[in-house]
Amino acid sequence: MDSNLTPMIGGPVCNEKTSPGLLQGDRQVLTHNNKEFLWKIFVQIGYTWKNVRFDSSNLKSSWLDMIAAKSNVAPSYTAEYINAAYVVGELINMYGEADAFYRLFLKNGIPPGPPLTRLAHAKMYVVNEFIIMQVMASGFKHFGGVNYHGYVKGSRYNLVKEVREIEINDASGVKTNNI
Amino acid sequence: MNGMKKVYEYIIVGSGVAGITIAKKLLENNPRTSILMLEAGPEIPSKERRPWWDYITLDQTPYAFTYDEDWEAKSIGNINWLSNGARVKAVGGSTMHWGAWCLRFKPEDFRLYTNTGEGADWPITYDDLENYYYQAEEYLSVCGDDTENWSPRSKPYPMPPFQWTAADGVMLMAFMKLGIKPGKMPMARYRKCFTTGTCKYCPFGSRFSAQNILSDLLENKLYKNFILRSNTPVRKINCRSKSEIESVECLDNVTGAITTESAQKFIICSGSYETPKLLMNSKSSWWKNGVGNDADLLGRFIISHSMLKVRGRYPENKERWFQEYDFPTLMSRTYDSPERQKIGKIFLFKNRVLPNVDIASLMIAGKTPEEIDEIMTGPMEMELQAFMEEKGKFENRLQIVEGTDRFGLPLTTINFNRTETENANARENLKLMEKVIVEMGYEVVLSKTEDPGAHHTTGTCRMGKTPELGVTDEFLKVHNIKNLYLCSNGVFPTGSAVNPTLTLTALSMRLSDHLIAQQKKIKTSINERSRNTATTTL
Repeated sequence: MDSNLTPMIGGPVCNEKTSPGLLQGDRQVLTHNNKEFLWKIFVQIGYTWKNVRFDSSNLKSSWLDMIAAKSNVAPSYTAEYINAAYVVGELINMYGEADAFYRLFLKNGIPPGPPLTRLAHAKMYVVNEFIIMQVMASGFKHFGGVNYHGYVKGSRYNLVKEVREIEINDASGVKTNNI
Repeated sequence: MNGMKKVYEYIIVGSGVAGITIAKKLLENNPRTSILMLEAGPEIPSKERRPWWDYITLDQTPYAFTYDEDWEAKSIGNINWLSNGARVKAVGGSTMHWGAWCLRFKPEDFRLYTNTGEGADWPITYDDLENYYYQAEEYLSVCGDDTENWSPRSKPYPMPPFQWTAADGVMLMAFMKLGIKPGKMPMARYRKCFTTGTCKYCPFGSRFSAQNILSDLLENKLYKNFILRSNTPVRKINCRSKSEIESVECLDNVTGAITTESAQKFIICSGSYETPKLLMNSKSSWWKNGVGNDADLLGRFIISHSMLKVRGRYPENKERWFQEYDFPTLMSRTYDSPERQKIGKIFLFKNRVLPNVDIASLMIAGKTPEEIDEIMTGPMEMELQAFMEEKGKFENRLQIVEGTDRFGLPLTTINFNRTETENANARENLKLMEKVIVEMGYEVVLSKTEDPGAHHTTGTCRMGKTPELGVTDEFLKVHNIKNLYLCSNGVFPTGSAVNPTLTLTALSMRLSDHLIAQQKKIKTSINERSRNTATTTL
């Protein structure tokens, strides 16, 4: 994607100017509806890159843990999460749900550099971090491998291999046990 | 005690692996032992969820702010010495971020001067440490391969090794073809390790951290006389006479109060930088160049490891290899041998990051699944790395300069220089490594010697048989001072080619046993005196 060639998407909410630092809102509360809307963004990541199973439902407990940690402990992400809900809401109203997420993830036209609009904030502080969390939580498997930075599979002292290991047949031969 | 100043049995300066290990052993021997531990840095949570998520999503660690800034530790030699990122100034010390590679030194490392005419000899041998190495491996929970036997060992590793990964295969084959014996990296990980690869901030406490041990000690109701003071840099050692320390002067960074604290024995465990700096900063009429520094050895002979890197590129990655652990699993000590001591021994290991494709970054950049697949199976890079042993030189030194850092400790300069012969030796070692990459069928795209990082700094207050050869004796007691001990990587006369922490832990255990034996000796002597007095009275 070349951001220079794509005009920035969205309407007045998305394009409203903001300062680049984390939006302030430590006393705001993340409502159930806010969380459900944010979860929708997370699920759409899996649909776009086709790299998860069960509509991401097996990742929800990890995702909620991250949301709680990021919104309950300073510096709080609550204002960023609420901002993202409004930004994505506007995109859905403008483009319809499928196209809104396609544009947000792949053709957003956000210029490189610090986030200076509400859309850029939503992309940097919410979407990008959701993507990192989604890949870590198991999304990486679609692209190969059985372990990844941050992946919590289980103790290494169990029956399932935590990485693709190698088997040596003799001094000169190596056979990969590609699980 | 009203009106009387408290005199602790021990004051330990520094709360890293050395300080904690000694405190633990002393308390286990006698739970009533009074110990004051002084730590310049703050307490930083080590297992909380938010810092872990920030580490995952932002690649930030909560202790990074304690790293040396360039103005706090300045490199002034012909080689840029890298201090930033090397040491954590916080409760738990550098075990907050260590990789936990746990390799023993080899017997020849204790006889570098005898074998090569350069560097120094240790006043002890490998055999003196062998039992302590094993104790340290148990304590740190080292997962290693008993069959490799790189160094002589009397007992097996406490835990089985991490296996080679499939991505190691091509380099493993090249090793074998070139007669390089492959090995499995000994790593300190507890059984509860979930292999998240987030070892620099483990959410489960699965890797030894001095901070976690310290929490256990502080929570233990039996250890009522164990006290930790964080945010309290020790600025000066005060002498009662030339041969005895009376107290230390410390600053409470929170209140600004300056106090002196007294003890029967003082153990300085504040790393290879702060340990010699504290002694240098403690000038008096008895010690004009700083405590224990009549021979001008403090801060001298500074070394770390040169990191050698050879990277190769292959046009495709059909198997989609990427590094699945956050540490190397393939290594070799074939060139870490007595024959290579003169030129500089090297310890080989596969780069812990490559091959790697950052899938999330590609998604963030808007790459489609198909584009990512193409990148995953496209050209890949692998890298062979090595630590090369350096030899201590008198003129290479760490010094204190006027001013204090953010923690109230003196500012530092490091003057580190390499000779042309040393650079040529590094190039010769790089050629050996290039052969591996070529044997793999990869194109060599990088071959270089990195600037030394301070992670493995040694030599700055080295031990030696006499005051002319070292700052401390073989039991880490400062020569000619009866109650001052040093325990940090700085006491190593040589740095070997491998990571120092296992050896430091072994030395800490040996020192603890020595101190406990001394206590017992004093107790026996007091008992005997009492018996004699009683007999005389009768």
